[in-house]
Amino acid sequence: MTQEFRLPAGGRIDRSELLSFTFDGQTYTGYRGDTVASALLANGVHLVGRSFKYHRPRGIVSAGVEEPNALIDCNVTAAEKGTREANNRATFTELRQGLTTKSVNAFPNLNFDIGAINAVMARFIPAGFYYKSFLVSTTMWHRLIEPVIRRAAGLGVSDDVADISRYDAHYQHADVVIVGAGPTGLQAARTAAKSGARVILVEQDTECGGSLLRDPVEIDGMDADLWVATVEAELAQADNVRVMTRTTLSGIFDHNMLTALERVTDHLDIPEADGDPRPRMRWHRIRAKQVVLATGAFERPLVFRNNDLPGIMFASAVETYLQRYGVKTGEQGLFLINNDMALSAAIKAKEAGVEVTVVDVRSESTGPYTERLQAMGVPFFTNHTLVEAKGTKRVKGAVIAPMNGDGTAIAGEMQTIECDFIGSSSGYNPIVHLHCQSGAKLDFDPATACFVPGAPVSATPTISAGGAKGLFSLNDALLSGADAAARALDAIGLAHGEKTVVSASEEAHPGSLHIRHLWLLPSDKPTSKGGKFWVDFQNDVTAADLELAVRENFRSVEHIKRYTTLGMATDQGKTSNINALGILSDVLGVTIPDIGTTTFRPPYTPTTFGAIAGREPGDFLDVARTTPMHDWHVEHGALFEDVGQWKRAWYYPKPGETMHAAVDRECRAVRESLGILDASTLGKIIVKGPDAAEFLNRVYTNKWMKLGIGRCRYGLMLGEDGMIMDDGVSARVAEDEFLMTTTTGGAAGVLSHLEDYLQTEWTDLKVYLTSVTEQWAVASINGPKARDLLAELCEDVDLSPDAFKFMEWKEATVAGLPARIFRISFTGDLAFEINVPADKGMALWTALITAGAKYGITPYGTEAMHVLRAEKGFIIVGQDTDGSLNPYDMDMGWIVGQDKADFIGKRSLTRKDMSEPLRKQYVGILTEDPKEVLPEGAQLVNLADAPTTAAPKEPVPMQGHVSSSYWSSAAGRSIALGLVKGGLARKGETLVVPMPDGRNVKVTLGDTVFVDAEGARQHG
Amino acid sequence: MVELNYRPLSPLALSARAGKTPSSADVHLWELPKRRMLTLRLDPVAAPELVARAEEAMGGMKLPTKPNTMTAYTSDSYVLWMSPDEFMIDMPYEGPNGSDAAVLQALTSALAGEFALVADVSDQMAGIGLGGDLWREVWSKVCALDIHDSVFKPGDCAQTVAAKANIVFYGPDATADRVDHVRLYTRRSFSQYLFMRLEDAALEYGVSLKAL
Repeated sequence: MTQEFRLPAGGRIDRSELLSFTFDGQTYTGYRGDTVASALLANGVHLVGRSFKYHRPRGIVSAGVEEPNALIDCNVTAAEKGTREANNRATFTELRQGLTTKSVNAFPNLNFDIGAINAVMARFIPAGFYYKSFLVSTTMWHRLIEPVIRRAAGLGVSDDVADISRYDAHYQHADVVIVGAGPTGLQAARTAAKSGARVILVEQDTECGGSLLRDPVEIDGMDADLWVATVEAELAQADNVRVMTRTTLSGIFDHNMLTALERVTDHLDIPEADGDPRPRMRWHRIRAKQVVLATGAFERPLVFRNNDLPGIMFASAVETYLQRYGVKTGEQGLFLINNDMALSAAIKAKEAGVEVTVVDVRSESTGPYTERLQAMGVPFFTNHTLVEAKGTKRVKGAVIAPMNGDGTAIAGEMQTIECDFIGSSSGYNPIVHLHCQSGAKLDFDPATACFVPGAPVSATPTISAGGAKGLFSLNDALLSGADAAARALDAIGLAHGEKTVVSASEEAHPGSLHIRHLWLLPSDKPTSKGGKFWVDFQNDVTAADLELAVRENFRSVEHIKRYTTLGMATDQGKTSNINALGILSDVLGVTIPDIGTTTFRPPYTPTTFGAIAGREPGDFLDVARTTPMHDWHVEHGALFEDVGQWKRAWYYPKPGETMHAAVDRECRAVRESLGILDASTLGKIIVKGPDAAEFLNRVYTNKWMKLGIGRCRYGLMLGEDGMIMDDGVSARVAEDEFLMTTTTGGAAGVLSHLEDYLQTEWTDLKVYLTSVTEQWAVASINGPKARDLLAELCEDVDLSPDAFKFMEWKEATVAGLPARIFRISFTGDLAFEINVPADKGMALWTALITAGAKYGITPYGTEAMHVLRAEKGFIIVGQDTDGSLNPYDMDMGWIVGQDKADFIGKRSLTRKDMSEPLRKQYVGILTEDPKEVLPEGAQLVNLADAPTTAAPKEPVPMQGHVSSSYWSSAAGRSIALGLVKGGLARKGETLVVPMPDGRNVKVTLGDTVFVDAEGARQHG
Repeated sequence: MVELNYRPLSPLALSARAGKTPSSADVHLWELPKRRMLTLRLDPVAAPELVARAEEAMGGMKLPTKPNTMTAYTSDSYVLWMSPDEFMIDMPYEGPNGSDAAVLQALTSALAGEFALVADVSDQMAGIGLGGDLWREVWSKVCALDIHDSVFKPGDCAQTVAAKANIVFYGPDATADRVDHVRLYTRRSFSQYLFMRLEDAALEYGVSLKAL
């Protein structure tokens, strides 16, 4: 194609860089600086998509982010898998060499779309169709609605593989954030810059200038380009100012936490090429003290019959394509307007050699633009309506007619005017999205027929200026920009100098609207007959749909929105909402402010999820905490288990060994000779101060006042609710100091819990806490040979059973390293936990492994640890307990110091339900067949309720569940622990575990200790 | 032979890679040598006499009185304000007069029996240095705290979260006009993750790894 609609000169494109791209498989050319939309228009392509519901042919209607129709999928070839992106606006997608694009919702292709049958069926798919379909039979849903109709409705196609692009995220801080770098924002920025404030100017477009890029009006005696360049240079000089183009301020949250999406590489010919480590996009979270909203305004279209034909667009879009891109929209243009400003587009079209006709719905049109157009000999029809647009895939003409006085009906001969495009304008809507996101309300201004920002909210103050405030005169906007910045600086106590007053030529830009608002142009037939009056292009909502919703008695605009889906598409109704309110106000007979608006929610424009996630998917999803001995475990083939953020060695399979075999081997080593466990991850908290013992006495259920220095004790910690929260062994280091240990996963939570009590509940207690979890590396040696091994490496402590008793700790030197040895056991076997400063953990570990070789020392992981402790019935908080179990439930009444004055959870334990006999209680579970290992989580039922089929029709009452279950070589059979209703009184009873395969496994309830019930081993 | 001191960042083998990164890069990253780090908890308002005893035990180093500031000494030693009743002492692991473990012992005995806590956390903490012309850009990717010159000045320190890790950080040159590099300390098990996040964040600016 040849870009036949490209003007020979002009525009901001770089004609030296010819770019080729594809759209629906066809190759086109454009220039650097084009958007996909401007390049398509340069090639005469107007039909770019099919509509959401009726598959109507649709064309480009805007030249910016508000575009409802021209949605395209980008990077659509097989080679580009992983970078495809659905539903980009062609009007906002920068052209680059080799870009591949595709229209959305068209099958098999854009020109012949099979789904267009929906348009014929339109009378059967009315407003609220989807909700009405809830009332039909489920068969209809399964056969028709789900597979056919829902599939037919839709837009672009997402990638079916993970996004391969790199994204990054930043935190930013500013005194003043200015959103929008049009004339208003630039004036605000230069005012703020001079104060020395930290300023961020955010502009979604590729360059600064805003409306000046479309309508380059002379400012301050300079042509627009020079003025913009001058201000930009001024800002670039100020190191307190950061100008961010290609960045969309997408959200305002409480206290001016802003989010912005910066597009970094999308416009480059080879994005993310080798060696370019920049991310595709950056997500900025900005903390701003003050926010100036200079976001400008959107034009809105007039609503008339068949107003969705390709070739019908906003008047300002026609102007933008001419001025910015050097593209004429067609050869014969009809401008359908209701205000003065929109006529600027008609003048520019005429000057570009387009044949122009103006249809002005106002009864009088006398502004300077009107005079110029009439002087240029342009046919000018005032007080006329556009009865109907003609054409199928492109507008071919327009039927116009004079209107009656109040603009409700035609009143005269209709005539047809040939045209290949229509530029329409119904006035302008300030872009108030961010203002509203802050929680602030809107006021309706009847003079300009639009919603303007109301008072800001104090928690999230924003200051609107320029077009965003409803100031459509350039001079008013320039003044308001400087004024907004000054107010922002005042609010944060920063001095500002004289405001720079600049002005534009009044003649070049009158700024007056003289608007006549006619929300629905009168036609020869009602809205329900002979063609549709489209309001929301993207979700296919018509004026008739709105009227139907009102007839069906919807009154609230929020309800009508959801019922008709108006404004709920990806464009969030940027071009449709106000027209809809206008139409509703006529139908309901109430004023627009009385109807109110729907809610504006972030993001302002669609945002790539990848950018929000930044670098944190994948390897950086979470911290992988490792112990000082981790590398040894890796080298020795350990598999790892996640415990909280920790990577703990799970088991160490030998080549070809199954998990079962490895765990069994590790367990037998401990029971028969010697095993070693990396226990570094357990939480360690120093509890220090004159009231340390009293503090422990209150946080644990048992007694701590009399624990001797050098002794250790197991403690159980409850929440206020009396339920088990954590457990661990604490050791008395000195009269006023304990070292508490916690579970690995509970460490951080326990420290917070304890600090909370110290700081808020027990401010009388003199106790300090500090975490030393990672100061120490811990190797736990377990098994009959543990003492023999330790004796070889430790010469300064007498390790004999009488000199170093169970539940004692001592300072010692182990393998030449300064150490603390705790004689405590979680396996029920003879055990020593050796703590050394973390840097020396690896040295300790390897010394133990080397010296232990003669005993066949076997490293064991968390799985064997679980088996070994289960053989002794020791609970694991979080596995055998679940936050709903108290100490009595776990048969641990022995650890509850009921005669203590108080401890956390004590009061709750006295509540009647806490000792209710049918609570779930902790018991041992033995299968009839000793080889049968029950699955954890299996349910137990009474023998009498044993189901007779694999899928019984009626639910069977459950008695409890299996919480831990293993093969135990030491017990010579399978063992299990679980929680059974009233279980403590049911020991000896036989119950049944129904298995998924239909078998009923008989089990007997019993004690929770399966090995060495008298405890001889650990005391040995 | 196993190293007697196996530091938390040792597995990243930074020294081996350090020689291969450009020294002219805009971001510099390095592992800090092991430091003597002590947690000190006492209440300076309720027990000013303990402050005097602690300062004497520390050879005259003063506890900072202003939140989020530190006192700095020419011996590359610092006392950091962590909370109204918590301080961190950060010194060379091996001091000019032998081991700075002497300070730990002096503090411990000076405060024995008092409502105060002294704990050696030298092994618990791992340190990372971050500098270069664009270190602030890297910072903006991992930490929400504002470190603009007007906010974070030489002599300031702070505890916060960076890349999911709790950190303590400060600019060690307390006499400079502005902070041109920082030391970050984190718990050792977080240090590899934090280092890799910083290196990843710095990639686009050019990053040089410096050997220990």
